[in-house]
Amino acid sequence: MSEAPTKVVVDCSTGETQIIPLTAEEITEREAMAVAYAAEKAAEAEAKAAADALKASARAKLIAGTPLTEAEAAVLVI
Amino acid sequence: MPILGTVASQFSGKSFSSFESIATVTVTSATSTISFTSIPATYTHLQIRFIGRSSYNTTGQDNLVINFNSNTGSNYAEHYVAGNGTGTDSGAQSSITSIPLRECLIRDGNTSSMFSAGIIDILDYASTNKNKTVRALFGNDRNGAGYVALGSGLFFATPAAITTIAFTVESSRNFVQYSQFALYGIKGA
Repeated sequence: MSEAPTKVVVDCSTGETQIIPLTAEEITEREAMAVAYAAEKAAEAEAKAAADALKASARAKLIAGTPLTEAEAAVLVI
Repeated sequence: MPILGTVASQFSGKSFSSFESIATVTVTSATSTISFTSIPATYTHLQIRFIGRSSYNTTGQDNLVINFNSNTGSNYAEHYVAGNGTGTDSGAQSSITSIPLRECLIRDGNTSSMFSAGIIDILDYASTNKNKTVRALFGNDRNGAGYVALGSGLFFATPAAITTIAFTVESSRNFVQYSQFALYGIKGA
């Protein structure tokens, strides 16, 4: 699976299947999109981890009876 | 019994099934897009049965992305409900540029040779009066981890018949070898 990626196009009216290698431009574009996708997902994961930590902190403070920050209150109260 | 031979010859080559294979693609090398084009309008519904795996070399799963008639405008919507054995998830998006089947494809960093599977129905695809509705059931089991989901989709660019269906991997990765997409036509009501 190390060769250049392809796209497969099936013409359902004729049954003909074409396996078309991606152009260099298409490969470059896809590589850039893949990097952007990975960065986007990493940012999402980081944001989720921060939100989870905020919730955990808020819950702990509620149990201990200590004041919550505004951000902690916001994450608990909709 | 010559009369039986006469009757049989009249039906020779004709299909009596209401569920017919239109085309099947089995991936032999890294494939970015699988497209079915010039789909005949001679059926009532379409169904795609697939197994798939993303080339993204990490754990987790990728969305399977569906586009119709080469349309990449904000003319799609989706809903889903899912479970992974320990928790549930649900969500929706409107005015998006494709129908994503969430977390549908096992990534290549998971145990080798494991594939996701699913069935996608495209209802009344040849209608020229209705927006198109999609439903899908899909998931994977990885011997300890897994995911199963029910998804729906809407394509509302125009009520034109669907003649082209394209599948891609959301992370801009590829379908790996042995991924397979089979397109069927369903006759009748």
